[in-house]
Amino acid sequence: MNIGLSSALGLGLVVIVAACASTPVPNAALENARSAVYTTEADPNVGQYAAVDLAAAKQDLAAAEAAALNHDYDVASQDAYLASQSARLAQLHAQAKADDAHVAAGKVERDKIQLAARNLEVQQAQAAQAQADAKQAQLQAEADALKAKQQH
Amino acid sequence: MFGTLFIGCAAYAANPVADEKIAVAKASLARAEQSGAPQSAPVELASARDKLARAEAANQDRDGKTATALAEQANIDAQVAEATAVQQRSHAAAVEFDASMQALRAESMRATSAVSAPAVAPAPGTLPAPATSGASQ
Repeated sequence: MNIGLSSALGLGLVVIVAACASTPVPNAALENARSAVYTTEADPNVGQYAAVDLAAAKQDLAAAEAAALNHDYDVASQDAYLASQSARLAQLHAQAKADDAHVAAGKVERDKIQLAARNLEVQQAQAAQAQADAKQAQLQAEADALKAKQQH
Repeated sequence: MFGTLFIGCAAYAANPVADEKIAVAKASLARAEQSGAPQSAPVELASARDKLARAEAANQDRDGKTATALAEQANIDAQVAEATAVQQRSHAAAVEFDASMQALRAESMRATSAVSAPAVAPAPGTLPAPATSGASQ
């Protein structure tokens, strides 16, 4: 009897809900949007590189939540979708900019390494030249000594 | 002939908000198509095209509300498709750059140690790795 009563109540509730809302509550879309926005917010690259996109996503989510509270489920569903996609956009933009920044920073390091390599080559060439000069001077001195000996 | 006139009138009477949203979506779609999205994000791009077509059909049927909603979705889908292509390009460039840096560092270490001079080049791994791209492949 209890079961019969509760199922009758349940059926009544379903009928009432169905009557109230022609469009179902977009719970899945809202949940999706919330988790997409929270995940995006937690990404440090987003804060640094895609703050504007994140703000748009949060605005869409707030609009979706407000529409759901007002039982305007068409608008809630639409805004929830836009919020989810804006959050993805924020993540994609942030990743691209982070990778670009990584390459830009690496190029500075690359220039340093290349400069150091050139300096090293110059040093090596100078050392080799100095060694050759010394050898030349020594040979010259020896030749001069021999010449002096022959003359005497 | 009357049919053409009717379609002409219908197009003229179309919802201006929907018209504007459709124009914006079209521009985003064109940008995405030129950015490499057909290769990088075919699913998002197909979704954007489909929604834009449905938005235009709804607009023809004078259903401005549906047309506006679909055009908004087509617009953001096209933007996601474009951003996916850009992100994939940036990531590939970063990976390629890192590989070339590794080769350069190794070469510079060899050259430096050959002279047994103090290391001039910074040690490898002084820069963070490129951002992981998990969002879209």
